[in-house]
Amino acid sequence: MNVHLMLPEGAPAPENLLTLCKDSLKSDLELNVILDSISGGDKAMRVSCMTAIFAPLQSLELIDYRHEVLKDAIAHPEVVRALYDLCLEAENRRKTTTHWMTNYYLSTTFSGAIEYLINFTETLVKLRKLAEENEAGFHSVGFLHLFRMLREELPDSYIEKVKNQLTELSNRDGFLVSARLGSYLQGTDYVLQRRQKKLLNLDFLKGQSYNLGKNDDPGSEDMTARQDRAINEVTNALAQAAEHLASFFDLLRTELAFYVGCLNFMDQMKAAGMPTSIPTLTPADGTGRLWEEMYDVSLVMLKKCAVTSNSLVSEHKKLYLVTGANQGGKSTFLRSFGQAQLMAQCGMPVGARRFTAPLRKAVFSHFKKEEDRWMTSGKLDEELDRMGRIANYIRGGDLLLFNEAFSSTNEREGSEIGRQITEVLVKYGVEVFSVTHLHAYAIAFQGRDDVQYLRAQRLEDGSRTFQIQPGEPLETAFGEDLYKKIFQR
Amino acid sequence: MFYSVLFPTEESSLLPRRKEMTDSFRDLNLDQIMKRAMQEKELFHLEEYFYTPLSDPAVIRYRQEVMRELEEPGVRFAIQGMVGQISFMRMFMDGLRAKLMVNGKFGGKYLDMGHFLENATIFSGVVIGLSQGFQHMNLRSEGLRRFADYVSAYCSSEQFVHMQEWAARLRESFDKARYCLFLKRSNNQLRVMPYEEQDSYVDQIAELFARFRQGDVLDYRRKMNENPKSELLENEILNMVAKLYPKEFQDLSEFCRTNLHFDDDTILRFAQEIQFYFSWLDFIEPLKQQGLPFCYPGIHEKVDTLKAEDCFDLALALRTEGKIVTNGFSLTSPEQIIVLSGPNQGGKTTFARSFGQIHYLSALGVKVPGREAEIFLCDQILTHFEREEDLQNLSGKLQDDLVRLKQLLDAATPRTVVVINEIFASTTMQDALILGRHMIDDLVSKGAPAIVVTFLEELSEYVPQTVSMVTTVSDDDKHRRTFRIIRKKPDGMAYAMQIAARHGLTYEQLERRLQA
Repeated sequence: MNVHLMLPEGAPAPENLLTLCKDSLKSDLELNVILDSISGGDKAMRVSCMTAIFAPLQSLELIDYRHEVLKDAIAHPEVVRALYDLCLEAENRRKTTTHWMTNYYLSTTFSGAIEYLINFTETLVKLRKLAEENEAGFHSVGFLHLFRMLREELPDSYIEKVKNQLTELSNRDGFLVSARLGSYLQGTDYVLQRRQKKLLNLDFLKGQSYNLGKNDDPGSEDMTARQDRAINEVTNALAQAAEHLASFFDLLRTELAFYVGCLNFMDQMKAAGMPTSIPTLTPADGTGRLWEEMYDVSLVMLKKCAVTSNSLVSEHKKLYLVTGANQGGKSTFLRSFGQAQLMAQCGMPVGARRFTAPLRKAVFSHFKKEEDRWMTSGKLDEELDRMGRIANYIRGGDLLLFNEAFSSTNEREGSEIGRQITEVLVKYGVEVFSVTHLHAYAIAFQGRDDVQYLRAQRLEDGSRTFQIQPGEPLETAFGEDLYKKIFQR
Repeated sequence: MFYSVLFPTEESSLLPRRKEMTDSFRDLNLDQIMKRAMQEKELFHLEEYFYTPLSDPAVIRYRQEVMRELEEPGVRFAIQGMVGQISFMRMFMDGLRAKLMVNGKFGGKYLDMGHFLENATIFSGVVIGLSQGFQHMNLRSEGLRRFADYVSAYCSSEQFVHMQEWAARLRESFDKARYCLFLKRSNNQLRVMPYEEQDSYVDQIAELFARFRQGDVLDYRRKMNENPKSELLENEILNMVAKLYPKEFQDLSEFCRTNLHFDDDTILRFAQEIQFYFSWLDFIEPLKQQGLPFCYPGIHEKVDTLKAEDCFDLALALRTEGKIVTNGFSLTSPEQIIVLSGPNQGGKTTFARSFGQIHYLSALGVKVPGREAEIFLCDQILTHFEREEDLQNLSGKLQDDLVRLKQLLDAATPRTVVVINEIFASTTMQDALILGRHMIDDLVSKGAPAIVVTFLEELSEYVPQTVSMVTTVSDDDKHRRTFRIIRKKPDGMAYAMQIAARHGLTYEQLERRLQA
């Protein structure tokens, strides 16, 4: 039984970004904040969304396929959430009622497995019913396939068979073990012994006995643990059967989780008063970009209110250079853009009123980092080492985000290194977004048609609007202002 | 009278100690050092000793003496191994005694007696070993000498000898005992009976359920913990077993009653505290073998003539397995602040860390990296290292730098050593220079030793209290870093483009890579 909400039947799984990209994008673009927020503590949902984001689709058809499923989800959020809830129900019961997979006591695993097998059959019936009731309102290939499968491939006979298996579990009344005296005289080396008939006669009953008191909870626990030590092997087989049946729910949940995550995202942005949209992707050779009211999704999630957004229409640009005041919103802008590109390319809605972007093969990021804690290299060396590793893989058609790159050496040197690297990347078809305060680096590209200069806005009175607008670099930063404010001198 | 091997007097051992590491601790990579030093010593709770620098030079010297003596293999061998087991035992003894003595009357349960017997066996073995080891030694340090005298007297006491022989007899008889147990969950009943050979059940049941097995799934068989959940229940079982072996259990009871206080607080405390020295010596031993120097520093309470020769960053030495360049510094009044500049990748941060580390380690009373050292006894070390931009605090980088600098200066006393690493990197040169001068002014007014790593070479000649040190490249080959750091005026040269070339990132190199 297979589920096809993420990809059409027969489509190969999209390639993952390199670990190199994932690790840096995750921290640089605050993707953890986004994933935490849209999944709301649901780990499986977090993983689903993260997996999708890190495997950008490379064809417009595949993106359309997800957009169709997404539109069904947006039109019928209650049905999609109900389906998802059933998957959760199956899993939660497994977890909360018994912890049978990982419980300390094997006897709990034993009874938990049986209990789960029973629940499994009930939930399957509910799932099928939900599909039958709602199939009519859905249009996407993905959902229609799912509903048909639930109807056709889970016949009653299958469920009957599972139930029959459960009745086979026999009632074992008592276990006989042999034991030794351990280092502090505790019983050790329990070996389960077969009760022979002669032990059931009077000789056996003459042995000394002890009965647990009615409220002796630790004693009862202990007895269970002793029993576990005797039944270790037997329980294994039963638990494995139950695990196998559980895997289908995991599969369904994993794919549904992506769309529920999308719904959560849209709901959260709406609550904060921010727009979202299904973006428009253009072929990889497209040269135009458009963003309207694009904003840092992670920032909205942290502040839980509206934040500054930016808009731009550009054509035939290959390099975007962002300069301007410290704390002027440059990093935030860069993050918002990177987030939108990644989310767009996995079929998610984005944090902008409108967003049009060409497909990119891979997305790389190179942000200024904390001192290398393991000291394998100095700071500039560390930066260049990261850049060197990026250079091993980056090619035309990729996107690279620089945030304050090459700033760990002085301005003159940093600018020269940065200029050379950026020029070559752009020449060979890598699209580059670069936030910098290196003045010499920034002005090195002045006069070129394919460069879009952007600047953090600062008003006459020195205050910042956090807007990023077209504008050439200015010379001074504003450190002294901050010093006076903080040191109150 | 002996009290503690870490403190010369009982009073000094009772001063409060720090339980957590500070941010500066992390910046100096002391966390990596301490983590490695305390590896496999979690049981001994050494953190508070490693996290608490001392303020009394007399205590520092007491520790230096003991550590120096423990470096002799014979002394170390006599103590090591013995004391670990005692520490483990120590965790249980008080509770155990309380169980065996109810209202001043002996009335123990068999399981507690079992625990007691186990601990008594361990303890007596260890103490005998210790005492024998000390006999042939001529100890010099005050701490160890007084402890050896103590153990010797304890060990030859008649009470101790009697206890030790009795315990061994008992254990031998319990090793021979076996029994059978029938567990009936339905009516919560346990039965104990004499052992007899029976058939195995396991194969038959496994076969019965084999049909469920399919595909790749987990193995649910457990590694079973054989400690009882309910000691009460284990005791009930033992009560029944005792009827199968009455003589042995009667003897056990008599043993416990007679030897209730076999252990000794002072020995127990020693067993824990001595691990402080072992952990540190074990930790530096491989580095010593790789040729790195360590020494016991002179301790100074004033900023006068301070120095360290052939000092190094311990955390880096760990990573490189001792392949590391050593460097020194000296400060003669009025000199106070080292301003370190020069080519990147020349070991500046490393040097700054080693400066902070040696101050910290000297105040612990341990052997420190370096051939010879005269160190200022500081009250704390505060650091300012770059932090990764953190969206959670919603503030920009430069502001963060300044806020943290302000906090640092507010917290610093005239006895606080300060380590500042590459501050103001996120603004323009011009801006950074103005801010850097403000910072130096503040450090001068505090008066304790400090080190400032910066690309702002201008700061090194800003006031008489500053001393310029630079990283160097070798003369024959300008591309090569030597990691030597010397007192010298900055020469304005940096070598960033060569580093770029080493990573294949010059224009031509990168072009070739992208064409590939």
